[in-house]
Amino acid sequence: MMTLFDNIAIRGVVTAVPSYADECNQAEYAQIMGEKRLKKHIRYTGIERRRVVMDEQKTSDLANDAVRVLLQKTLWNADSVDILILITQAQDMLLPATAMFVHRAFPFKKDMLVFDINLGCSGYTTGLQTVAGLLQNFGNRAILIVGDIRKYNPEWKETGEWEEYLTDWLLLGSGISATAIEKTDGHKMYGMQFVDGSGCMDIYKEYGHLSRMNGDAVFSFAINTVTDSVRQFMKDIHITDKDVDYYIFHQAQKLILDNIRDILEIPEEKILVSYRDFGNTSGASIPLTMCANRGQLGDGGRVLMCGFGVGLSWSAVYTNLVKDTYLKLIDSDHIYSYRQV
Amino acid sequence: MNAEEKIEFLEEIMEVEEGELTVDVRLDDLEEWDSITKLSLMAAIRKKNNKVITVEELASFQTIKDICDYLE
Repeated sequence: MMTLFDNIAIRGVVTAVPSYADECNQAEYAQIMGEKRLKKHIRYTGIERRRVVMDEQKTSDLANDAVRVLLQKTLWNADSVDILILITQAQDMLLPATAMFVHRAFPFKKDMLVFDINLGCSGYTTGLQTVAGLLQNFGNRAILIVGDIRKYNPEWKETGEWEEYLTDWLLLGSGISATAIEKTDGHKMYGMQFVDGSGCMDIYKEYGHLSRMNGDAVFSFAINTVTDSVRQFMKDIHITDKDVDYYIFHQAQKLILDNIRDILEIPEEKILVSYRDFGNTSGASIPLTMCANRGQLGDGGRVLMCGFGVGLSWSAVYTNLVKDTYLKLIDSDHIYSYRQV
Repeated sequence: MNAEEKIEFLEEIMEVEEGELTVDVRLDDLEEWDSITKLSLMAAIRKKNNKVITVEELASFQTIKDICDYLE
């Protein structure tokens, strides 16, 4: 499904990551996987370290820090925001929606639309379309928060799942991103949205268990289905590689990104990446990559973004990132208290 | 690819020494037949033969011969 959203622009993106970097190449992991296999794993995934949450830091803590900087830098008053949507699979609690903790942390108004969406790696590009769609009829300004957090739990070692989960653990990083989106005359955003519920058990997590992934199926989906859709999307909106300055794909891992680039014949310098130091941060990986490459994106440019993963769900957005869009990656270890207002 | 080239192709993907693979080697006995190798094989087949190998086809491989038979 292809959609054109009129008069929509991204104003700023701030991504908050916890400061602790967990190195993939360490003795504990080598002991379980074997040194040779671990080294090969790192070489193929391209992921050398990921940011990991410590102590009691939660999704809303990182979200609040990202929103705080975003509001400061866009010079938006909190009460000028009409929509606040938070997309995560690492909710602070079963209820309320994690977005409510963000709503409490700032002087947002009460007559606004605030809710969570449960999506993973496709979250950013689907979220942009959700916000862009709502803004056609509802208010002028929106904040989209996307991302997941990963926290090491020593109890995993007591279960039989840890050894099997380790290869996934070495891919996954923490990051929460906040994006300011505003109705702006003349700016267009094109979107593509797909889902395939038959793959709903290709990536899943049951209560009280670690997440599971059918790696073969997900890889096949990424290099076949996703690339076919991106090609079709570009055709549908009548663009070619010449109309794209940067491609930002979900940072699944190097092996997947290299193959996507290969299949779509994308010039290497046009693909922005961040996986080496941040791993796969789920829905935050596209905005995190934007922030990590602010040097290139500083002058703006036409970007094609594509998120894909759990669902299975995949989506893409093509838009012109305006010059001076504020992009920033911040370290954040602050913990906001739940019981204090 | 002829039979020899197929073996060389697989040795490269599995990162084993030249001459280490023979058609009767069982994949379950190969330490190198891990998830990363499977993904690399899927990608290499797509690139080399422009053919999409399904997860079911991949799972049906039991020996090096099975993969060689699949390769064009």
